[in-house]
Amino acid sequence: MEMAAPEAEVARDDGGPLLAAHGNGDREAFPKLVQQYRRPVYGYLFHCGVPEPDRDDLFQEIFVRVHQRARTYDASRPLHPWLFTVVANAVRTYFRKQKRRLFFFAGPPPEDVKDQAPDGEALASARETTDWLERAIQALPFSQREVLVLATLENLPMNEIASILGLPVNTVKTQLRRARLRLMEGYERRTRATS
Amino acid sequence: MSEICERVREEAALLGRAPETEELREHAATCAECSEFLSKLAALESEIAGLRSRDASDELVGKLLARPELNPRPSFRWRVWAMAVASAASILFALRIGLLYRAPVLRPEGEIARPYELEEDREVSAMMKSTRPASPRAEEPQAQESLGYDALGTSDQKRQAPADKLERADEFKDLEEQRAPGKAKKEDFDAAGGRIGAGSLGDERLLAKLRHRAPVYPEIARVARIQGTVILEVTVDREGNVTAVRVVRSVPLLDQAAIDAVREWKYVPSDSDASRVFPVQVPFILEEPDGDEARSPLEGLRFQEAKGYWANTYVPGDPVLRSLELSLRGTAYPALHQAARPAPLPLDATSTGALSLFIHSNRRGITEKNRLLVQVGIRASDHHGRRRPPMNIGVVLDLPRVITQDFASATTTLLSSLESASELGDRFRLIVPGAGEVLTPETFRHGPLTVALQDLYSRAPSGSVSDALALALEKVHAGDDPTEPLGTSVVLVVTGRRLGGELDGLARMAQASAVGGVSVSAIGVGAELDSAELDRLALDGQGRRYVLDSASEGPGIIDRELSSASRTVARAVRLRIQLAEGVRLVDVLGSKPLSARESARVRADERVIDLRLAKNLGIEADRGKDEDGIQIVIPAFYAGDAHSILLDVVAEGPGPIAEVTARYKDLVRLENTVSRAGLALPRSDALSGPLEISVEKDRLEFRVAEALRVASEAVERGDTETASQTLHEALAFALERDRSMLEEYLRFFPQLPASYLRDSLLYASALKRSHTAS
Repeated sequence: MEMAAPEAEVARDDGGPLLAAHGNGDREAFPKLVQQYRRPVYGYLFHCGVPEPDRDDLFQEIFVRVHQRARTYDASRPLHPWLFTVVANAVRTYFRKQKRRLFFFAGPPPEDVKDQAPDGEALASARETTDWLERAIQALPFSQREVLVLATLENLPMNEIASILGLPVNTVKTQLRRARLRLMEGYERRTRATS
Repeated sequence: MSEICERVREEAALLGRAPETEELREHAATCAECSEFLSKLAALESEIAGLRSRDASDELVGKLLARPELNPRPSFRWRVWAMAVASAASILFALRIGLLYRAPVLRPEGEIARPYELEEDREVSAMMKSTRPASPRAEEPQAQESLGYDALGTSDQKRQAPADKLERADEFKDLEEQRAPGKAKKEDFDAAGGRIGAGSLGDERLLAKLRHRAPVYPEIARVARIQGTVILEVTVDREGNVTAVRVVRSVPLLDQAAIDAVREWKYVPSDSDASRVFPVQVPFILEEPDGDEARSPLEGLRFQEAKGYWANTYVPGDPVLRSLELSLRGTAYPALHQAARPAPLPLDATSTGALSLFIHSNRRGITEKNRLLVQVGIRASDHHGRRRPPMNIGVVLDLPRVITQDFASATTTLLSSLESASELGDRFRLIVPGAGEVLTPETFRHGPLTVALQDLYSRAPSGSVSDALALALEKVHAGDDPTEPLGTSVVLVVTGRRLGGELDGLARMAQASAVGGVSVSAIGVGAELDSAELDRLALDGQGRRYVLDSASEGPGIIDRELSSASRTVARAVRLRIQLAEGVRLVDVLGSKPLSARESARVRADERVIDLRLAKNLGIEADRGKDEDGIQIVIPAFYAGDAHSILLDVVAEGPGPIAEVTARYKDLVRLENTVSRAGLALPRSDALSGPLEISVEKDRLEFRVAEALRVASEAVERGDTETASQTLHEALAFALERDRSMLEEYLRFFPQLPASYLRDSLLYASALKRSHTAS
């Protein structure tokens, strides 16, 4: 039997009206908006591998940016993609700066700092599959990582991811495919090792 | 790996599940390598889906929200507007005060509303307007102004000189001072939302509050973590008093607190005679729980072993309760205990068997180690078993002096119905004043009954109804089997006349009998009755009262009487509560572990019921074995009743919490029945729903019952100080309906004799623990 379309989007409690109310001076709206999105935003930062002390700063930074750009938000459109554009851009900028900093202070990295292949030993030693998986995702190349997190943990459809990241849909698909195949590789190794 | 395998992997990796292309699907179904890949992919996907969603710490969110740059700013355009309106307001105000009021101004009494409250009132009113186009307020004179901001101006002419009016001038000044910022916001909202047009403002702009009282956060809402904004529609008279309040948007558990607060508010008086109606927002925002309750709920807890026999807390028709009720009745002191209402349990009755079993918790989910309240609920079917226990009934037939045809036919039908409803083991007897025991259990059959009645109606013997009742009670008490459920022995007093002077004596006998386990019901026949007399007899006799208007009602009355007297639906109910691994027991509220000797007695009693039912009703004996977990044995459970057992536990985290099994003799279906229910909590921090709230309510009702009991014990010791302090403390968490009862107790405390107070408190406590199903 034919399955339902995978992109069927989960109905989301959208915070759009809250942001609009905030723009119009409602004092209660923004805290509510933060409460609604703290988990997805923080989760994205975590799974994309933003390290601990910077993660908190970036989290605050993102919501300040949302506040500053509240006026540019079109209330007739869903908030989720808009907000995740801000989030994704903030994370990209962060990693870009990070790379530059490393370049200046420690010389050029051999390749993308975050784009190292999963460290087999560290991963295999992870006791829990969830621990392993979290680390494996963080060890994916950044371009694959962001697509994977948006597609799986945020459950966003391809075209939305493409517009959030400013990429062609086909590129998004390629990255997602590569990300999953890479994870599968590690997963198969892991299950073979443990069984 | 073949090329097609490669393609299967590519497509599966993109979709995160098995490929959809026909060709690839067919291949995957046959290729072992591909299907292994797909099953592993599915496992991986479910791992990804189950990844703990990481959340920012509350501290971080707090830090973020405290940042100064996050305050909302109205747009530049609206800021200009606001400034313009504010300056226009102050100019007009200055003009008016300067021109019209040269008298000294006095301070008004009471607290002046803070500006933000004013803003709230206005904001809702704007929203309300958009949904109610034809506001009646629009017709009022003040609302007709074109500029729409200074409604006070029009009525200035009327407001000359009188001193009381001058006081008001200053009120308006306060109002005026608040108006400017409020105004700006209002305009901003209107235009930005585009919902209401300019100049459509009603008189809600006059809503400066002279007296404000903050609502009290109800305890139940606080523990259930309910917050929200209640919107009320408030009617204010011309003096500014709140005369009516209606809930427009309800938030469960918060409405009453909002109404109570708003009723005490006072607004600026108006010059119009018409009352003003406008919406008001009452926000309830939970503060972060403070103190030790929030930070270390798990510290210093002592755990108990979750096994062995525990005391049963379901005691229907408790003899203690009945003797208390007797001692409390007939005194001149206020019956404060009557305000005690049993806690309703929102549990559904089963439609097939005798009992349904529930297990709930006060949380919908947990994310970490947590202290929980687990409620095990039992609800009996509303219908009694088709098989009622054998009944022991004495009928006292009190004949009037003149026996009419109607009376004769009605009583004949009534007694024939009783006769035809008789079953094996029943013992019915008929006693008539002046004629003694006319029919014994052996002769209470159709033939002898017809003959006896015909004889009685023609002879019309007369005698003392008190003597007849005494005889009936004596016979029925002698035949009462104390091991049968309460209510199987009844005396029915059937009368067609006023009892008059005899009533007192009859009621006293009925009362004494009821305490001893034989209830007295009263059945009136015909129109010559005083139903208040029947009520008194039935109340004192803890029975029921019926009035028979026509012969056709006879069978229904007999059916009801028999069914209510045979309310047992389950016997030998053995509850077993097993806690999941990692869940530890702090306490079973109100219960205690039984000693070895007590346990042995519970087991023996259970065994007796088991064997007796096996013999009488053919329900196979199945008891005698101990089980693990917490075990509670309830000897009999009655139709329509509900009971709850509250367990205080600590769970290590989400997952299975507890499983409860009820093994009982189902008297509806005449078989051994086992019901099971389990509780597992997901990983979630969702707010409480109605079920969770009802569990919390149950806990609060339980705490009130405990406080009443402790107070009663303190009174018994002569320690009235502890008693009143306990009740005072209970006020803090009691639900609304209990609060007034506690307040009454505290008010009457010094005036009541200790013995009465002790019984009254104990009675109220017992009543609070006897649940009714809601």
